Parts: sequence; structure tokens; C-alpha cells
Amino acid sequence: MSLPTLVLFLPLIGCVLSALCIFGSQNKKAELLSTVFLFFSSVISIYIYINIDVFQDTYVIYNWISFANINLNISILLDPLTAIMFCVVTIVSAVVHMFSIGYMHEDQNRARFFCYLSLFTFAMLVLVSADNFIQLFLGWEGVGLCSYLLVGYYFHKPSANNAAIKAFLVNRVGDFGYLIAIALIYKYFNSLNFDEVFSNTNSLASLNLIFFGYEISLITCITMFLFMAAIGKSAQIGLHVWLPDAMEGPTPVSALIHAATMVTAGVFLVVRCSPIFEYSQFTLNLITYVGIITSLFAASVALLQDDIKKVIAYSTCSQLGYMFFACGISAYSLAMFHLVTHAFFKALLFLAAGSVIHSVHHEQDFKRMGGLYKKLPVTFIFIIIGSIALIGIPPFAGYFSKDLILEYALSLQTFKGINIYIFGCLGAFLTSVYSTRLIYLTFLNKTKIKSQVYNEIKEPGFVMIFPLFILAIGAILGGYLFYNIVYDNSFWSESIYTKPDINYVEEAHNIEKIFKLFPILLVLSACITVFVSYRYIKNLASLLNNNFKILIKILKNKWYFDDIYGFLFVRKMLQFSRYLWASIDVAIIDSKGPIGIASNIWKVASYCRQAQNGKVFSYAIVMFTGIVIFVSLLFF
Amino acid sequence: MIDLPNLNTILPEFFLFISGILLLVYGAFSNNKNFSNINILTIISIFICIISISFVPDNSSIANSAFVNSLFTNSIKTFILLLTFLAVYVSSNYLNKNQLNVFEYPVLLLFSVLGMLVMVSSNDLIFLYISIELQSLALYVLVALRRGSIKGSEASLKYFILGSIASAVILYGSSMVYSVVGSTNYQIIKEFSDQSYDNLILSLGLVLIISGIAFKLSAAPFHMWTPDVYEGAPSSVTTILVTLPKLAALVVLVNLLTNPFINQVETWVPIIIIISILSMAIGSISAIKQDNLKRLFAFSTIANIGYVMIGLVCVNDEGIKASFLYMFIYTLATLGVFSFIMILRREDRQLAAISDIAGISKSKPLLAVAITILMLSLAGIPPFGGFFGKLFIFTAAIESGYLYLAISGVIFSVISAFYYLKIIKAMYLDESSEDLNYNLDKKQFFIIVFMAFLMLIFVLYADSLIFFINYIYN
Repeated sequence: MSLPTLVLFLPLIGCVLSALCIFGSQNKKAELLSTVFLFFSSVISIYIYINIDVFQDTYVIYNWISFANINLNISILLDPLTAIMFCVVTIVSAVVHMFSIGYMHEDQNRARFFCYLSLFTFAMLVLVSADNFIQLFLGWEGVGLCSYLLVGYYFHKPSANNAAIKAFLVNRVGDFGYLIAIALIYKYFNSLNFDEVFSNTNSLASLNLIFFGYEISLITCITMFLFMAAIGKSAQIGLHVWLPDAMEGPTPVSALIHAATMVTAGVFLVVRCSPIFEYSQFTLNLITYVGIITSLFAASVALLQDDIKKVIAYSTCSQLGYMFFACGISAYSLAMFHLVTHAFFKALLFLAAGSVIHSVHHEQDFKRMGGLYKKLPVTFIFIIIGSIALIGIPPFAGYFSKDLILEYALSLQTFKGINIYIFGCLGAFLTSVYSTRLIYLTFLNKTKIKSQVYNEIKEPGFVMIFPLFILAIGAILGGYLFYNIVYDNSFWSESIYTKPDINYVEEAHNIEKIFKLFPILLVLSACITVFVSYRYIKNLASLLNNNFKILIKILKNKWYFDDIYGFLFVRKMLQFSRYLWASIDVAIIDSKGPIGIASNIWKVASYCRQAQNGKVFSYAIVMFTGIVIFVSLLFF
Repeated sequence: MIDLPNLNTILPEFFLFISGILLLVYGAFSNNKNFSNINILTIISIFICIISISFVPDNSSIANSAFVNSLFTNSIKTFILLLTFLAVYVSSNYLNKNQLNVFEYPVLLLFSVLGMLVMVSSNDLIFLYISIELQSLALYVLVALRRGSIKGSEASLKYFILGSIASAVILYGSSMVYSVVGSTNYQIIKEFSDQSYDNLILSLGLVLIISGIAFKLSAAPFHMWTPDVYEGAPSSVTTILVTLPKLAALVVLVNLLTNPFINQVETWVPIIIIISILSMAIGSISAIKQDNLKRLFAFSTIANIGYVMIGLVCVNDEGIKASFLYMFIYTLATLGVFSFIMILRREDRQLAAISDIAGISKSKPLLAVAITILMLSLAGIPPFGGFFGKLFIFTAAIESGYLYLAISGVIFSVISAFYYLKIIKAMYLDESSEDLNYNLDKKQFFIIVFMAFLMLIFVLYADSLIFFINYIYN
């Protein structure tokens, strides 16, 4: 068994063993086994990443589907893109497993939790190691299923169940797009393997489809549907509504699935299919503007959320927008760079938030916290590190990846690029505002926790601090550790599209210094402004309320997305299904169908019973009637 | 003086006749204490009779081929005798408890079986009529065996009156056939109908004969006697009524339709179709409202005869083989079911209401499982025997182009599943009002479990059974 196969299957083994542990409710064994397997897996994937030149190959595990001209393997397409995703997924997953040992220790059925968590990791690895569209879809649906299971982990809570169903249903909209894209690709490319599809894209680039009288380029059509899937998975505007609700799941789940890995699957899909996306300028423009709008929209909503996890969730949404508009300007390597650094600092933020939530007995509203820096100094430091990395202050990871995108966009000197720079800076400004607000209200504000509870708050133990430590290293040094993936285009060795003869970093460095400093100054000033106004303006809340009433109302209601969807789809759908149920199913199908037939047979049975009256002459009459009928048949 | 080769031909019948007479004499000159002796002697004579069948030469005949033997008739006879043995074996305890342990019982049974054996071999309308009468008259008396019971006497009287009408109809039909053919022998009828197959009088005779035999099969619309007689007769007699005469009558019907009247296909196929659909419908639907198990299974019999008739409609070997296979499975399952009904006895009273088996699964779990298997088999649910019986019947019907028969068969088996499941529900889900502690007779219990086992492992021997039926029918 080769090392890459081991990376893929160790989480599955952990999952199966944990599943076996469910029956004896041997929670200790389950958490230990799955965590150890994941750590092994992550060590191996780091080793593979370092020696990617040696390992780069396609490892066929078995021949999955083979009929007609479809020949699909379950395999590991180990190229630099997969290797880097392996690293991110397994490292974050390993530390989240470890963190969960501490976070979930009160749960009596946590073997199930670890089973799901390992299964998720396996599905995500299947997704990133796919060498064809179907295996990718298998992993795609697998992570969706695990997300559903984990969001609804507290199945006794109706809100968790609703959130799980919502996440699943909204993702189905995106999956629908993916299926259509698969169908189109199969129809025109006659293959579903990446290498065959990508190498044939050039020859089909000029093909147009006639769709209701409109001519659409085939490639545009395919890429639009692929992007639709990416929108769903990566919670971009329109289909973002599930992500904040998914915070109903346990916090480690939010860190692993809804920040670091699964939600980046959409970005991964676009990057993996970059050889196709490059042929459709229209789709790339669409991706850019969807990314810009999402990053601003989500950041604006995050401003006024009071739930510590929801702020970070909207922040995730916003950062995914950055990755998408990086894809939109064909800077896929920059998108991947941001994906990697974001995975570390966002997982760090989530786990640190989880540590806070754990310490204050599952309170998530930070307006009811405050003053925690005295009680949770270590967590406080980690959340500061995570936030600084997020808002992009050098030398933390977020600065490298985010500002690189903005600077490269500006260096393009196009309308799109300038838009990205302006709105990206604005997004960074908003990010800075909500991050500072979160830190101030949680840690620095006067405490609103009852003194009795407050006094008992203490730092979590080693199993929860150590994962934060590892992620903090990633958040601080991630910018340097992974710098070569953007600095050196040859790293990718054709696994993604990179513009020939262009070094993204050097291009980015060519812009004037003032534009480089501008984002940093902007976020720093935002930090200070927010801090000062919270600290020294007494009636800040009422002041804001009076002056920005409408804006605050809109933001508090998240731009009314949930209400509009509720009005347009959910309620209409419920009405329609109630109509189908009451007027069609019950009134027609049931009453005329099974129930009607059964009651009629019941009536007939009563007649039959009456006919059986016990009198010999009536029996004889029946017999003779029969004989007469049979005889009369002779004359027909 | 009959020479020996000829005696060989009728050896089983002859032996059964002699032993019946001897047992009658023995019984008449001894008191009732000797019932168990007579019972044992009956069983012994049944077995000797089975052995004597092996001495019967294949394809032999006597009396101007009015009585014909073949591998097929010999096998059917063996099966009838085995079933008789099982029926006698299972009911001895029942007879003792209900004061039915009179010597006439086994003697009458032997005469009835003698009638059935002759029915199976008969190749002449006169032989057929006489044997049917012998079989029926013995059964009329058996039904009335509970002399004190009003219900029993009423049932016997109804059975006798309606049965006489049926016999008269058969006789009338036979006389019509004779009036045009000039003979009652099947071969000669066949030769006649080869020349003039559209003879109206011949067809008329055929219709009447079919009607009479349909009465014996309790097929609709000649079924009206069935529930009353089954309910009124002692359960041990009902056990015989639902199995042996049905099989014998089916053989007679198949013999008649495929041999002398094969040219009248256009006459009898529509009649059999009507009988089949009516039987399935009435049997399935009427049973729904029955609370008495014996009445319920009377209707179940009618429905099952309907399925058997589908096989005849096909007018080919496949269909007829499917019919016989179905009949075998049905008789075995029903034997188990009626053994179960014989068990239901409390405070010197036989019970037969569905409420009397409520909650039986708690006191007798193995019994409940066995009955469940029998019910599921009768309802035609895989992998039990009854499913394959229906499967072959429907396959044969579809292959012969009678899709609508197969569809209606499926629909009616769905309806009839209701009352089979109702029995399972009563056993497992209903609460018993009283303490239902039935005494299990070992013999009866053994038969129930054995039949359930046969239904359960049917898949394992289905192939050899089908092979056997193929072998004997050709």
C-alpha cells in the first residue's frame, strides 16, 4: 500500500473503528483511535507535500465504473494541488479531532461524533484526490452528507435539525448545477476524466449551444453550472443562507467543515477545473463580481451579529469571496494560497471561540460575555493572533495572501482589477471592524457574566490548547511556509492553469508603495477607531441607532435574505405541498385508492355474507343459476 | 373367476375394499373400547394399500378400459393414501376427546378413500359416477357423525341434498353424452368428438358434468354448501373434506377435459375461466368478514380452487402441472391449518373463533411461528411454498396469453392476504381475554410444525418436486 493510499484510508479506518465503538459506547477508544489515525495521516501528507516531485502520479485504487465509453477509476490524482489540499485537510482535521476530545468530553455518545468527523475527512480526501468528475461528485456528496449529520448532531434540538435540513437542501441546488455540468461534459467530451476533458477543451472552445433561441458558448455553459455548484458549497451570495445556520453544530465541526475544508470545496472545484474556466471570460467575470458582492455583503452582516460563531461564519463567507475573485482574475495560485492560510487562521478563530464557549458553559452571545481576558489569557492571545491574521496585518499569514490578491488585481490595470482592489479594501476595513468588535465585547468589555459563574471560568486543558497552538503557528508562519506556491509557478506543474511568463508576486510588487500600504493603514485605523469608540463613547449604541436606523435594521436582518427566500420559496412550497397532501393525496389518491377500495370490498363482503343465508333452496338456486348461465354460453 | 393379472390392476382398491369390510365386521362384533385397535388396523391397511400400489402394472386396464392405471394415477393414489394416513394420524386424539371414537369413522373413511381411488382411475362415465357417489355417501355420513349436534345434522343434510343435486346433474350430463355417443367410455367419446366436435348435445352433457364436478371441488358458483358444511362437520372430517376429495375431483376434471373432451376446448375454457374468477373473488372477499376459523378457511378453499382452475384454462401441460403443484402445496398447508383448529379446545368444547387464538404467541410461541409460516404461505408471500405455487400458476397463465387471469389472481391474493394477516395479528398483537392454555397434542403439534417446515424449506426441494411432477405426468 502506497503512502498516498494510506493518507486516504487511515481516516476511513478510524471512522469504521469509531463506528464499532458506538455499540459498546467506548467513547475513550473511539476518540483516541480516530485522532491517532488522523495524526498519522497528516504526518504522511506533510511528507508527501515536501517530496511532491517523487510522489506525483495517479494512484489507481480500483476500476469503479466501466461501460460503453466511460471508464472511471477510484484513484488518487496526486499532483501539487491535491498534495496541498491533503495537507490542509488532514492537519486541520487532526487538530480538530484532538480539540474535540476536550470539547465533547461531556457528551455520552461522542463515539458517533468521532465516527462522523473521520468519515467527513475521508470524504473530503476522496473529493480532492479525484481524477474524474464522478469521484469528485462522490466526495462532494459525501462531505455534504457528513455536514448534514454533524450540523444535526444534537438531533434533539429542533433548531439543529432544521439547520441540517436547510444546509442539505440549499446544497442540493448547487449539486443540481454540478449534475448538469457532468451531463454536458459527458455529452460533448465523451469522457469524464479530468486529463481527457482538459486536453480537449481547446478544440471545443468555439462550440455554441442553442438554448431557447440564444446562442451560448458550450464552455460558458459548463463553467456556469460548475460555478453554480461552487456557489452552493462555498456559500456565496444567493446560496449562502445555510452557512450561518450550520453553526448549530458543535464548534469543532464549524472549524473543520464550515471554515477550513468543506466550504473551500467550491474554490477547489474552480481551481481544479481552471483549464476549462480559462476559456470563458464571461464566467470569470461572473465569478469576480459574485466574489466581490459576497465579500462585502457577508462582512457587512457580520458587523452586527451578536453570536460569536455567526460572526466568524459570515467572516468565512466573506473570505471565500476573496478566493473567488482571485479565481476571477485567473490568479488561481493566489486563491489557493489564501485558501491555505485562511484554513489555518479561521480554524484557529473557530477553535478559540469554541474554547470560549466551552469555558462559559455554551453561551454564544458575546454581548453577555466580556472581561474574559483575565480568565482566559491564552485563548485571548490565540484569538488576537487569528484576528490579526484575518484582517491582514503583517507579518501574519492573512496579510500575505489577501494583500497579494488585492495588489495583483490592481497591477492588472483593468476595470475589474481596480474594482477588486477598491472593494477588497473596503471588505478588509469591515473585517477589521467586526473582528475588533468581537474581541472587545468578548474579552475587554466589562463582564456581564454572573460573578459566581465568572469566578469559576478557567482555561481549558492541554488537549484543547495544543491544537490552538499548532493552528497559531500556521496562522503566523503560513505566509512564509507556503510562499513558494505563489512565488514559483513551476510548483504547480500544470495541475492548475497559470499564466505563462507571469510571476504573480513580482507583478503585485510592481504597484506603487502607497497602494501597498493603503490596506494596512485602513485596517489599523479601523481597529483603533472601533476600540476607541467602544472604550470612550458612553452611549455608542443609542448614538448609532439614532443615526443609522435603517442601515442597522437591514444589517440585523441579514439583508432580508432568509425572509425573501421564506416568502418566495419555502412558504410557497409548503403551501403547494399542503395542497398536494390534502387535496390530491388524501382527498383523491387515498380516499379513491386504498381506503376507497378497501371500504368497497368491505361492503361487498357484507353482501356475500348475507347471500350465505343458510337456506338449502337458495343454495340450490345459485347452483342452478350457474348451470343455466353455463348452458346458455353454448348458444353464443 | 378373475385371473391374477387383472387382479393386480385393481389390487389397491380391492385390498381397501376387503379391509373395509373386515374392519366393519370386526367393529360390529366388538364394543367401542376397541376403537384404538381399529384405528391402528386402519393405518396398517392404508400402508399395505400403499405398498400394493407398487404391484400395479403401469398402463393396465380392466373392464374394457373403464378403469385405467398409469404412473400418474398411481402417484396420485399414493399421495391420497398418504394424506389419508396423516388425516387419521392427526385426528385420533380429537376423536377420543369429542366422543367420536366410533368404529364407523375409520371404516367410512376407508370407503370414501376407495371411492376416490376409483375416481382417479376411472376412464368411463359410469365408473366415474359410481365412484363419486361412493366417495360422497361416505362423507355425508361422516359429516353427521356428531349425532347429538344440530349443526352437524343440518350440515350433513345440506351436504346430502345439494350433493345429490350435483350427482344428478353429473348423471344427466352423462346420459346426454351417452345419447349421442352410444358409449360412456372416454376413448369412444374422444373418437366420436374427433369427428363431430361441435355436437351441441355432447357439449351440453360436458357442461353439466363440469358443473357437478365443480360442486365437488366447491368452486363458485357451486360453492354455497362449503362454509356451512365445513363449520358443521367435526374438524377431523373437515380436514378430510378440504384435502382428499378436492385432489380426486381435480384429477377427474383434468382427465375429462384433456382426454375425451379435448375437442370441446371452446366450450369448457370460458366456463372454467368464469368458475376460476368467481371462485377467487367470492373466496377472497367473503372470508374478510368471517370470525369463525372453519368458515374462513372454507372460503380460503374456494379461493384456492380458483387459482387451481387458472392452470386448467391454459390447456397445456405446463398449466396442468402448475395446478397439481399448487394443489399439493395447498393440501399440505391446509392439513396443518386444520390440525391447528383441532387443537383449539377448552373446557370440553371445541373452539374456532378468531378471538380464541388471540395472544397465543405468548403461551405457545413455536406454534404461533408455525401457523404464521402457514398463513404467509397461503397468502403467497415468498419464500414460502404458497408463493411458488402461485408463481407457477401465474407464469403458466401469462405464457398462454391469459394476462388478465394472472392480474386478477394477484389482486385477489392481495385481498385474501388481509384475512391471513388478520390471523397472524390475532396471534401476536391481540390481547387474550381469558387464559388460553390449550393442551398441545403431540401428534397434532408435530403435523403443524412439519407442514410449516415443508412450506419453509420449499425452495430446497421445489426442483425435485417439479421434476417428479414432470416425470409422472408424462
